[in-house]
Amino acid sequence: MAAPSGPAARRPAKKKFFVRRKRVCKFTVEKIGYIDFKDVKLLQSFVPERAKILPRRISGTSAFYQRKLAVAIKRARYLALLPYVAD
Amino acid sequence: MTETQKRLYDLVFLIAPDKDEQGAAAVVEEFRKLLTDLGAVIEKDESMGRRRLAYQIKKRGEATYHNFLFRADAKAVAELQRKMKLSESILRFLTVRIDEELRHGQKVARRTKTRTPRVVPASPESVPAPEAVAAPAPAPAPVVEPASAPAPAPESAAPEAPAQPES
Repeated sequence: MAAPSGPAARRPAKKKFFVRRKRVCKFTVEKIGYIDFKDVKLLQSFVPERAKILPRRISGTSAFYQRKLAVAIKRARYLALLPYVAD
Repeated sequence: MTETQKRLYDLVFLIAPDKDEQGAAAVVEEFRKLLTDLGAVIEKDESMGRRRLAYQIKKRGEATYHNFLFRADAKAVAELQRKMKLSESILRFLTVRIDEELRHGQKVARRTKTRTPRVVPASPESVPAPEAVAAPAPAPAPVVEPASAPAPAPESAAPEAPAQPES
């Protein structure tokens, strides 16, 4: 009970046992700045099996980078680097 | 102002898989030449290799990717796009003007403060390091209080040391 304190304490806890890990925006931490649409490996980590763009509520990406990321993913899709739909 | 400015563009295009390696190289060479003829300055010229497509394009399941980064004016790009559209061997292409995106991104990246994440598993080494530095500092000091003798002993297990006597 004592250990996972910080982030979980923010909200009025419905379930006390729910451990919420602190999510950090990858791009902010690594100071990426420009998200390249050719970097398939990077983009893939934000596109789960359903081929949808991972919402920032889950990934923790900041709003600024989420917008850039969405554009990059869409460009990659056009070039068939990423799928539009899961097959 | 001098006519039109040269801007930085990122171009990726897909060469149909019916071409063999030499054929693909010839296509690349063709557009390389076209670019320079149009007055473009190529800054990066890189083959991304043959890859599987995420979905079929014109019934083709794979293609050879190539990437150019170049500076050119708008007219040159328009001409390039027209030629690419006409070319049979180009499955798809994308030109993106990236100079402003790049600049803006770098600006933002420069402004973001480097903060040491506390609980983040990304940098587990950086967290114990300052503790290790902090621990030896008080160690030589407590000559005043000789109550606990084993001060100089464990350099390595500095943070865990106080936990041990309990067991």
